[in-house]
Amino acid sequence: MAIGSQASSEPPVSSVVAPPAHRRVRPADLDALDELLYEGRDSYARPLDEARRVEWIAAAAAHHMEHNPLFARLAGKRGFAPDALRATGDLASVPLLSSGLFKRRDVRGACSGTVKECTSSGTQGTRSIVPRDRRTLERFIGTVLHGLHEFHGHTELRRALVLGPPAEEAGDLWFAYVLTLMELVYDTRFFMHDEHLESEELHAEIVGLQADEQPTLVGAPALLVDHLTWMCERGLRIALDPETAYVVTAGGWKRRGDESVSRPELAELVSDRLGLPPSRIRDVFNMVELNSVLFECETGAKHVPPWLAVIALRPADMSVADPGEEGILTFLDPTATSYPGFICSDDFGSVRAGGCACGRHGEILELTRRMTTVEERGCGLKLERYVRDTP
Amino acid sequence: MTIPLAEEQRCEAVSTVKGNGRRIFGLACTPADQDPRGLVVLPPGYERRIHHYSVLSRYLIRHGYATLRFDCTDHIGLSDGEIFDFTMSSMAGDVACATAQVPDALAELPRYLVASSLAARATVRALAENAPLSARVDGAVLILPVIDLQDTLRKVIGEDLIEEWRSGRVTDPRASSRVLDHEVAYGFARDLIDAGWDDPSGAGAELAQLALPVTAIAAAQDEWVRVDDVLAAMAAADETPGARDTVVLEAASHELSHNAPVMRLLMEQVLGALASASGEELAVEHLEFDEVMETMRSEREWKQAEYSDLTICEVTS
Repeated sequence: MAIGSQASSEPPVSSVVAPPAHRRVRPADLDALDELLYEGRDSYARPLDEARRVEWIAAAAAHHMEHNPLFARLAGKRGFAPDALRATGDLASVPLLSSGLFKRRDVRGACSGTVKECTSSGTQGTRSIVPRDRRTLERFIGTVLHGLHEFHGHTELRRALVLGPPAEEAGDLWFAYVLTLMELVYDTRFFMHDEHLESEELHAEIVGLQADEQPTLVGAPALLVDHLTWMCERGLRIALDPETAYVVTAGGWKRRGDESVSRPELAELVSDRLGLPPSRIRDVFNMVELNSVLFECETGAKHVPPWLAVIALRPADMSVADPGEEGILTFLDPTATSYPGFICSDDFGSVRAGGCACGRHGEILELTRRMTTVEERGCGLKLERYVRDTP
Repeated sequence: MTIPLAEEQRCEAVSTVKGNGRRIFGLACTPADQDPRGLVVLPPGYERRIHHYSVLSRYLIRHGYATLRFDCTDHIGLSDGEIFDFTMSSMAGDVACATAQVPDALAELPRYLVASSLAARATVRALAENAPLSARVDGAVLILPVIDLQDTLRKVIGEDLIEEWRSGRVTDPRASSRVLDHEVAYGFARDLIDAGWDDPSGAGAELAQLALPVTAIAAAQDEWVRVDDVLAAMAAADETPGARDTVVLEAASHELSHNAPVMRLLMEQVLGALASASGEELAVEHLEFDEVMETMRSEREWKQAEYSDLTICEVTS
């Protein structure tokens, strides 16, 4: 396109090349939070942007107040307003849903398209049901990929060896379903069928890996110990490459809590049988109600992703615990859109800020134990009463 | 409504042989319930294989196109050769061969190319230097096309392979350098120089020779390809008889597949470009979440089994 057709004393400028014509397009359903989830890199390289996190949580709260009658009633009862949160930054003011509520009430709000009803394992008798629509599920996967990039590094050479069932057997059980998502990223094989761990096949698979393949063994700690014990009984050892291989545990011990082994014991077993140092054993934290995954770094610290707030509350009065002080863990997760991701969990733990020995910034979550006593569970019930008493 | 993969497409393995005797392994898929409106060839980018384009392929099939995917020769995958010997000229040869030699049942269909990253650059070369092939192709979509190979390689590898070879610091073509996950011989750098791939204006000049409609799709946050390079290359081709369209995806990087909303937008742009190339309009129907999951899972499993349950169609020139 020639420029400068108007009469002018200036020299002709037709030699100036106009910017090439093009269209810029952007997905309508992609906001700043999505950009961080899907495109964010080095997200822990800078101190936590608290104002940004508050805004995302306030926006999520506003969304749920508009689309979720249950949460709207809860917020009304608590006198909560997103703008007040924006003004004060007081994350403890956000109304919470106890994890027990997901066992008794339908917590879904407005959903886009098909909804997957994700269920817990029902360790304590009743299963939680968490309704996830497409956007919520995609964001969950986004948190997984974001964490894998940051903490494990992405490579096409990785092979996932899952101590769990394949998708067709996983059904709606959230933990099993999450493990099947490895298949979307890596070449994956599953070593549990009909609830039976196939240790012999798993061992053969590891032994038969090509030299450049980088294995990640993924599974519940109980199944990992089962496999390592199976190796012990047969006197088997493998020397995996400590530069590239990982052992990833997830999901906790659940019904096999009586058999649990400590982290140092597990590290000893892994070192003895698979030849990997503790830095290559990584636990990941998630629960069915939580739409984000927390990854461990090489020092074994669980990093809170920059969009998620984790707050420990004192069981006595539900006040906010000091940094490092044990309390009931609550989560404010703005990535869930089909249900409120503002959860009071059944777990005790602590949160500390100030970064990590690994050099990453942000907050660190330390899990300590599950709620066990009636008194402790009473805290969650207090929260539920707000909901139950609300018409 | 969710449609099972097996009910939506029919696939067969394809085997063809390049001029240099190397065998190309491919996968041809057609809509199960309708005659295809066209054939879309999907050349794979560097370190990409057939299964990496499974979702794009299924989108195309849902909208009535047949697809042909393949693994490059001298690359990872089931085609002949090892990635150690990878060159851009070999990739361009693969694109030309796979596009020219298609199964008889698909040979009369309008033919399109949708190629990404390095394969997009190879596609431009393959079409520009082969007029009969270019005349046979009805449209091309270039996704995140690499334009300035030297700049992109510097960003990807952290070293300048081209300069190392050009300056004589490296003279052994069997010496190697790590390119992402694989060792690649310096024969790659030698080819880039000898065959003129290192000229950043080359892509624009070659595009200017193409009479077919071309759409280029760039990503605003692409860490490996400068958007301005794509715009400039496409602008250099403005005077050709073929239609040109350039789209910039905002909030997107070179790794598109990890960004679900951007992937949906990309599918709309690709399908829109193909429909436009044939003078049609097309309403885009997106895959359901479960359909995307099923497609990726099935094709990963298929790939791990090396497509052993498919019949193989031998294609000759």
